Amino acid sequence: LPRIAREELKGHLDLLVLASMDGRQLHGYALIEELRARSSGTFDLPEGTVYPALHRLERAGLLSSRWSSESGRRRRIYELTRKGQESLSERRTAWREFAQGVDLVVQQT
Amino acid sequence: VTIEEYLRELRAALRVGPLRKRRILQEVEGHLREAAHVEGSEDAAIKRFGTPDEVASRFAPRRKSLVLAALATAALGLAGGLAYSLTSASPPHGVPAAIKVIRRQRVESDVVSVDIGVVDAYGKRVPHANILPDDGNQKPDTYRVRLDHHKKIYIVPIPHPGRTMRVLFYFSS
Repeated sequence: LPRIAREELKGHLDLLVLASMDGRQLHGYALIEELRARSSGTFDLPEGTVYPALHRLERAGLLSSRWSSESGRRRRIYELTRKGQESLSERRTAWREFAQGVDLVVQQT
Repeated sequence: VTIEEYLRELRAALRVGPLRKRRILQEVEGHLREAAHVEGSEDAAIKRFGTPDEVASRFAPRRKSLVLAALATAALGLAGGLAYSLTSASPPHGVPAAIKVIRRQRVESDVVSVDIGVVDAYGKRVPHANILPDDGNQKPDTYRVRLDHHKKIYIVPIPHPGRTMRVLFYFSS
């Protein structure tokens, strides 16, 4: 699979994070693994970029978080809020329209 | 570099309040220890995470920068002898017509360097503007700022104490 340019990916990071969190409760490391697995390794992010995104989305009220201790490890667990669900739904629609438009253009060339 | 060393560097590089810094460091430490356990190498886990400066710059806050800038400005006013410049400026190259730089003030102190741009946005309301610090090397870091409803004052944290940088304002819709 082609490597996605970091800068290009940055613009879509929020959507990718929200979509990966949909219906799940994940800590940062698990989220990165999820992104990597669901994209078959295409989205191999510098892992430190994900935490600022998580914090930003939480400040925007799209995620909530809490500490959790499992097998001696303390982790911050994130999940979508109601507002996050709504935002994800809007972003999904916008993305589909955008991707469809790009695809139509690219397919013709 | 060990995880402890990395966290020390990150602690020094983070420009956030103490509570937030503590949370960030706890999360990063948890991540690195888990990654090191899975990958079998602290070094590999750290490399994948990014440098402390890169990570810290992404956590750079806005509110904190306002406090720092206010302190820097107050110190400047009290000292009276520190160098500062206040000049009228035409919109920098690359700034769309929707945004106009009214004046630009540069403040320098020992603890922080900030570039204060007073700008007036009109015609087009967007939720944020991007700011591109230009230190002569076209450093690509981009900071988001909020627009208020009136004239806007943006104060940009410069993560390099003792070094001033010009800041270009431009819109991103």
